[in-house]
Amino acid sequence: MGNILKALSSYLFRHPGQLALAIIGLAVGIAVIVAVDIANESARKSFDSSLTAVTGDATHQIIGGATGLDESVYIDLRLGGIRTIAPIVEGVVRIEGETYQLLGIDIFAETSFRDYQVEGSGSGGSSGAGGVFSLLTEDNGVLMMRRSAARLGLKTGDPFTARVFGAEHQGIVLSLMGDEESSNGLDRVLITDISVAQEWLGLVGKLSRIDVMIGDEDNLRASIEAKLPPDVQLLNAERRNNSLQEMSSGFNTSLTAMSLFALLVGVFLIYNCMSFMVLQRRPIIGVLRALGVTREQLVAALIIEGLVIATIGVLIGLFTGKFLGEQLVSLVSGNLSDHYYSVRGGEVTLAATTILKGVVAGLLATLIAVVVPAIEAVSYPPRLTLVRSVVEESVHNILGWLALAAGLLVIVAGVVLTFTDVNLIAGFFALFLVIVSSALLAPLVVKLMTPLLTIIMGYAVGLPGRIAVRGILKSLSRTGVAIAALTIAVAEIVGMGVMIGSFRENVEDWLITSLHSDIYVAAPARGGGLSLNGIDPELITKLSQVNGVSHYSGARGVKLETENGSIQLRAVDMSPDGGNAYDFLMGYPAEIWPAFNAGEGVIITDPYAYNFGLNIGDSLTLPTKLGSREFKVLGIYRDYNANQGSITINRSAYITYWQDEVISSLGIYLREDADEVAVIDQLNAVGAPYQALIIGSNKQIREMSLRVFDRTFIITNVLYWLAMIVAFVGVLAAALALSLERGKEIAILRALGMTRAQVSKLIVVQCGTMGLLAGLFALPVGMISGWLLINVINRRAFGWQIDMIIPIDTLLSALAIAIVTALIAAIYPAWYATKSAPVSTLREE
Amino acid sequence: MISDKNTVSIHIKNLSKGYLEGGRQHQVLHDVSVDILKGETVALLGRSGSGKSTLLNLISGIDIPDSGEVQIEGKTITSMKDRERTIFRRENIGFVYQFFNLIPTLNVGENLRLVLELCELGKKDSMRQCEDMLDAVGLKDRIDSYPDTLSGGEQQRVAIARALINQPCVVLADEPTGNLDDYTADIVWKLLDKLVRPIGGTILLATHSADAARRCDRVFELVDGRLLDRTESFK
Ligand SMILES: Nc1ncnc2c1ncn2[C@@H]1O[C@H](COP(=O)(O)OP(=O)(O)O)[C@@H](O)[C@H]1O
Ligand SMILES: [Mg+2]
Repeated sequence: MGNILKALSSYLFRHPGQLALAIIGLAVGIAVIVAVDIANESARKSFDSSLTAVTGDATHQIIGGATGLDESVYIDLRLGGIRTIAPIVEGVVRIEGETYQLLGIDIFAETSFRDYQVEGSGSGGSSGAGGVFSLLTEDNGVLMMRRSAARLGLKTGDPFTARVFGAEHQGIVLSLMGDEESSNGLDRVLITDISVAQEWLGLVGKLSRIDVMIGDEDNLRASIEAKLPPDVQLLNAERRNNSLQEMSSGFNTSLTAMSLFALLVGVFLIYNCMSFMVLQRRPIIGVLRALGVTREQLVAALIIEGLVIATIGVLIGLFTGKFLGEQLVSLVSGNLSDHYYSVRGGEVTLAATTILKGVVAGLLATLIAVVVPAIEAVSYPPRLTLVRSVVEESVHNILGWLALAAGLLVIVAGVVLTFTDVNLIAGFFALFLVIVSSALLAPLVVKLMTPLLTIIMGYAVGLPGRIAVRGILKSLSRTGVAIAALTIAVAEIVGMGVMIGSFRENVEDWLITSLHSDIYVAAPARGGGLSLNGIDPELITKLSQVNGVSHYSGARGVKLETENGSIQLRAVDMSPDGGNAYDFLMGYPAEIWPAFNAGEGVIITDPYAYNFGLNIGDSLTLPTKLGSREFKVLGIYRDYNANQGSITINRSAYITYWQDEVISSLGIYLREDADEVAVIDQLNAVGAPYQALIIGSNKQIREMSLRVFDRTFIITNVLYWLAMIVAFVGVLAAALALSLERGKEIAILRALGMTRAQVSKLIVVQCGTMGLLAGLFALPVGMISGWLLINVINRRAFGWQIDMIIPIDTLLSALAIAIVTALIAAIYPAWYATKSAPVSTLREE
Repeated sequence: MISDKNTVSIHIKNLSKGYLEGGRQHQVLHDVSVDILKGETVALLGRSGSGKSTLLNLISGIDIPDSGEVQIEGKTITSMKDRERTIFRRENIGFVYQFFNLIPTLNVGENLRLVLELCELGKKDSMRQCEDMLDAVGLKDRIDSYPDTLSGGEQQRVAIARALINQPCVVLADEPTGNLDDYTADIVWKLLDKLVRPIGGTILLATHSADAARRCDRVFELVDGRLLDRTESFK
């Protein structure tokens, strides 16, 4: 075995370029798989840990109703002798442009729930001035994580300014928590006394929730429940966290889709590079066979060698991937901090599952890449093995089988989709199958397209053009895989492009329909997204009298907490034409509005209906001030808000059930002749003496929403550039392989009188054609993926119903990207091919 | 044509070429000098590894000597830049190899036309010229076939057609029949004779075959990197 290995691998050592290429290809493939996985994981993990850091050891939580949780509930429980409870006020504040979560706590109730690792307190240290208890003595004192403080350039005793919806509050850093390294997901959390949090967040007299620790004794639960007002609920903390987690899963969905693409492209790259090494040595294999080495011995030797090389590649890939992952995470963190929770940038650790994924992908792809051509290489009588064209012939013979396999996979995907309704994993599986099947079809597509392309390139650049195109077909075992990889990468761009493009158009349309008023006035939602007092009724009257205002409709938005997550409830006073703001996907406006105005039921968003399997005529239960009540679903309308969906109810019905007359936002309609800017100025002037208001024109709100939308998808851009890099290496590897393999042909061409420039051009044309082929094939594949992303993945993940739009500019730019990528990949091989003197290559036969 | 008999077609002066192999210099050609006249047919004998191919490659300019110079039709190709030399080669030199070296991705007609296309000949002319040339080697009906569907002899005939389609003034043949049986080899020889003599081209032929050498005007042998005149022994 030793000698066989030596005979085989000495070739590689004499062609270190090919060996390096295989290792680089493998490493890049692994790196991308690992990097995307890290980004994915860390987004999920930091969400998890910031959640547990905030939830602490609580088993249950007491959550308020639509109008929040009164402090008195806590006091009553406490007076009632219940000790294992802790009140919490939380909300979001901004310091120097960064988002922090402000957590107001009651020190005395707190200690058994959370461990704050504050310096100067707790283990060992004498509880000096810096401890948690300093919160009691200092006004506006805040505990901050050491990392945050370092980032903000603050130290103990320093003042800082926190902004909460336009209002500024002065705080003082009392103490630092944690150390540089560990942050427990508390990185962006500020701890303060409950009264400070109430003041800053505008929640005076209110709590966000009460954390409860209930052991196994059921009677504690019962006795707490007995003391709660009807609209206040005791919820299981774990279940509630799970549903919060689902929120983050929404964000992960696009990452998962991307990592799927990355995985496939990576695997193809590995396959490409490794199988090339075997194919390249068919002559040696033939000689060894002729010398009497058995098939088993040869295949075993090739596998051993492949695994050794793969191990090196995987190791390099893991480290590169970790580095790449760090970059991605810092990108993700910027993006996610716009959302509810914060992600820590910088260092990441390689999770065991990530490593496993990388290693398995690397070794498995290598194994297949080695075994398939190895078995094939040894399956001929020794003499035939020497002939290169035999490989290609056999590749052409299996095209039909590949197509058949592709067809089967598509059928399986169809079956999976038909028999699963809302399962997201099944959706991804179907997407995966479709992409794999397109990869299987790629060689056939190349074969079918080349005659046409030969003619076109023949006209464009003469006979060298034909050599180039036919060369692609002639080395299909090589080029087919590269084209498949490039196809997947470009299909990803097309698919995501179609999805995001359609989504954006839909959102834009929806914003135009649903933002019906000319100007919106809202009381800032504070704390947990709840505006306590809304807009002062007296102010509302004043606002409606501003010159230019025709009429207005008032609305109240509240959040209802349930174990299935929070529900957005909107109570509206429908203005005469306000009904046009709803685009009903189910139900007829003529039937819906009379019933709605009579308070006979609610209308719900499409995602809400989808998530909870609701239909028109069904009932849903909501926690009201009067206890749980059932409401009939009258209609289902389009909505793209980034929450689990919302429910709209007539305001008079809302007042009856929730006993809350507050109006938290106004939709103002202008008179025909009114000057919008002047009216907004006036509204601001009128409102200023009363309270802080957010006033925005229809257009401003629309633009802001789209900006948020665009920012959400920044990361997808980065990810598909990563996939493109992998595909780029794939094409580069294929092009290099081609010029190595066809070195003799190039030498002949040089001997016949082709200049270096002409040879370079030939290789550039060849790569460009591969790019064109991949780009063309990627268009239908990408559109199908886009369709799946829209109608299966997004639908299953968010419930959003998006009408598919084919953005022509995305298609054209994807095609251009495919070609340009291939052309860039051609640079080195084109140079390489001309560098070697024709003689040395011509000598070999 | 006959009046050209005394002009030098290939002028070789003090040509040396060696390779560094495993740290040791291996001198293939030692100070080789020779003049080959226009229209002459010259055989180049030598054992395998004696440097025949090396010499032909240096003459055609696809390889560069360590020292010395090569002039073809009065042009010093050894001092030309790569691009210049390449263009000179495609316009003036035809090469026939032992292993045919046809372009596998082009069919027979395209293999021939490629040479003309490189010399920027009009499409119509090149089509006609290509048909005529294939007619001359007796393969007109195979114009659309791909090289791998032809026999060795047929491939070599195509290779000859390709080398000559340009009417080069110098034809270099590197063991053109080395890979063919005697009968087929004979056909190839006759073809070379028949096609090159009328245009007054110079032929330099590397071969093992004494038979072939006998047909030539002059015979040289490469021994230990030096060129010895053996014309007398083959008269
Ligand atoms: N690129 C090269 N590198 C190293 N040695 C070479 C190279 N090309 C030719 N040689 C050596 O030069 C000698 C002559 O080779 P060649 O001209 O092919 O001989 P012939 O054609 O007479 O059989 C041989 O010993 C060969 O090993
Ligand atoms: Mg030779």
